[in-house]
Amino acid sequence: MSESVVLRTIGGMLIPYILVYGLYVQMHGEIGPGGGFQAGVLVAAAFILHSLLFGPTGTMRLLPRWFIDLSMSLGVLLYIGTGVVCLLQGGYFLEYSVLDRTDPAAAEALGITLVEAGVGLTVASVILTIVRKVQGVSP
Amino acid sequence: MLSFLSPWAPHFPILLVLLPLLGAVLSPLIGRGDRGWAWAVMTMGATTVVAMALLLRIREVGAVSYPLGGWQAPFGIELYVDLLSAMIALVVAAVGWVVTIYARASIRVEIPGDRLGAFWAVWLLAITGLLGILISGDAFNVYVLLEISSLTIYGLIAMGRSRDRKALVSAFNYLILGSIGAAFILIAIGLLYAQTGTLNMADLRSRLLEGGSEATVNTARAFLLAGLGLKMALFPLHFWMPAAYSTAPSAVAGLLSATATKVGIYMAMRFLYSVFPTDQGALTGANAWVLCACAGGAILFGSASAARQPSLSLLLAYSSVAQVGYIVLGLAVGQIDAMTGSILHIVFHALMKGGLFLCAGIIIYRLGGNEFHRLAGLGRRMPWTSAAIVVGGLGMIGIPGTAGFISKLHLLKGLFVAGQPLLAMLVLVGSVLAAVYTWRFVEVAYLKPVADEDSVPVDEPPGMLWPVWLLIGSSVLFGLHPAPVVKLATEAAQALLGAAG
Repeated sequence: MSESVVLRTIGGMLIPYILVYGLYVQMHGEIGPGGGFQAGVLVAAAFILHSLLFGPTGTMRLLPRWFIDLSMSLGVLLYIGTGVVCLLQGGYFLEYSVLDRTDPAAAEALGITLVEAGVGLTVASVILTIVRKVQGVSP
Repeated sequence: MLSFLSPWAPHFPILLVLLPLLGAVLSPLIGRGDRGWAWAVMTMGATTVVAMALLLRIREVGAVSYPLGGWQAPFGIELYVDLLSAMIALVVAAVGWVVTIYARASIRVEIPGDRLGAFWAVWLLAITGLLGILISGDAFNVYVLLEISSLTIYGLIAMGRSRDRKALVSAFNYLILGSIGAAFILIAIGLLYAQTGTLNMADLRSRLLEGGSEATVNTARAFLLAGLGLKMALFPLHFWMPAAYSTAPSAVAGLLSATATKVGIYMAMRFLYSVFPTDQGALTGANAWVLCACAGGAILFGSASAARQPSLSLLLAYSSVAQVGYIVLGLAVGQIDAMTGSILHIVFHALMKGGLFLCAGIIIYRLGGNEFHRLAGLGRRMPWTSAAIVVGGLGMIGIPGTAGFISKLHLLKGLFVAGQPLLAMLVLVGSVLAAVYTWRFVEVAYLKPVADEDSVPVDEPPGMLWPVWLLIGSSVLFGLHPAPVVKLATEAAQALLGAAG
């Protein structure tokens, strides 16, 4: 936890921008450089900065352990779930185009967006978990 | 049989990985303790049913291919399952199921309390990775899945720390060596990719057959064999294995001995015969020679070391070193009967050694350890467990009527047909040494008096005993009625060698 007012003020101002940039990389990854993994790292970095500035326990209050554990599982579930819906629609696993047979291109976009969202969620929460382990904060 | 699954039939390959993965992801949400256990048992049960259905389907329609995301091979990622992979997948799933059932009581005392929440997730992820390797038709995906299973297995072994602090050291050693092995495998795959520009196994093969730099291919094969040798604990790269298996939680040791090294051997079979060009279906020159030498060393060294170990777990682990030797011997000779023997031994050894490690676990559960000085008079104290160990030991020797006899018979026949009587002698010497180490247990358990008469008999938990007898009993059953499995293994060996020829 930083005692410096300058660091805490400037850092606090940066965090929202890092989060927005993370979201940009997340949403943009489908058609440009980026994607769920990179976005997850960026989002996690925002919270790591928060924990450096305001102390790990403060971040823990913001994102409690049960929430992180849940989103770790939910991310993978979102990924698998998208694939399984493709199965149920009569396609192969992760064959997004069957999600909407009238507009396969839009279905591809939807599928990859969902899958990448799952990746982002899991990566962000796994990185936060590892950092918390290193910081030695237990719930 | 299993016809209710037929609407799902085209999707069996992916379901085989999806089910345990889904189980792993959901298990932290289900909860710890008995609820987590029940969830893992259900997951593994469903996985085993799918593996069974997949094997039956492949017997009907032949090898199946599954394009992930609908992208056709060689551009997309392909799952490819033939008789060999389906057989081993069924063994992994079924033994995994039985060991999961067994693990309920033993992990409660052997796993540190703060790790119980994650245990079933890691356990199911390890099985996911192993099953994934078996069904993948893409060389790079094999590597990724190998890493998934390896990383989770390091974690599972380290969880043995509350019983034996050395588990941390052995898990760390395995981590280092396993990572070196994985790096070698990745280098091999990278060289193949540089040579051919493809990662799909079938495509790799056809492009390698077209020719190209022989030096690159040979280097790739050497890296691959060294890496896989580490992963499957082939002598002289076995030294991580006895420490890891004897300090891991006993259920984990049972699972690993039955599945993890077997999957490494499967990868060797798949790559050597289905990817690399071979000369008329057989390995030639230095490859065959090196593999035979390693296998021979494994049989002699493993069996001889097993007879000198201070505890039952270590004895079983060194015996596994020797058994890997038998399997690799058949694989290296590449003759059809020898290959059948190898495949049979993968199946039978998984049943027998899995059961034996679980017996060692029951003894740890009741007596706190299984060093030989604690086992005096065990035949009277724990009659059912001791009997299971003796039956399993007879299978290790290869006494007629046990499954071990069937696989060794095929192996010996293949070695003689291939004109290798010296190697056949080696197998026989190994069997004699197996008799020595099995006798060691019999002597301690049945001929020595019980040290403390008050301790007779010890209660044997039935929830742990019946999974043991399920594994050991099925190995005896296969020993008495081998025909169906032998037929499957012969067909699998033919497919493997035929594709190579």
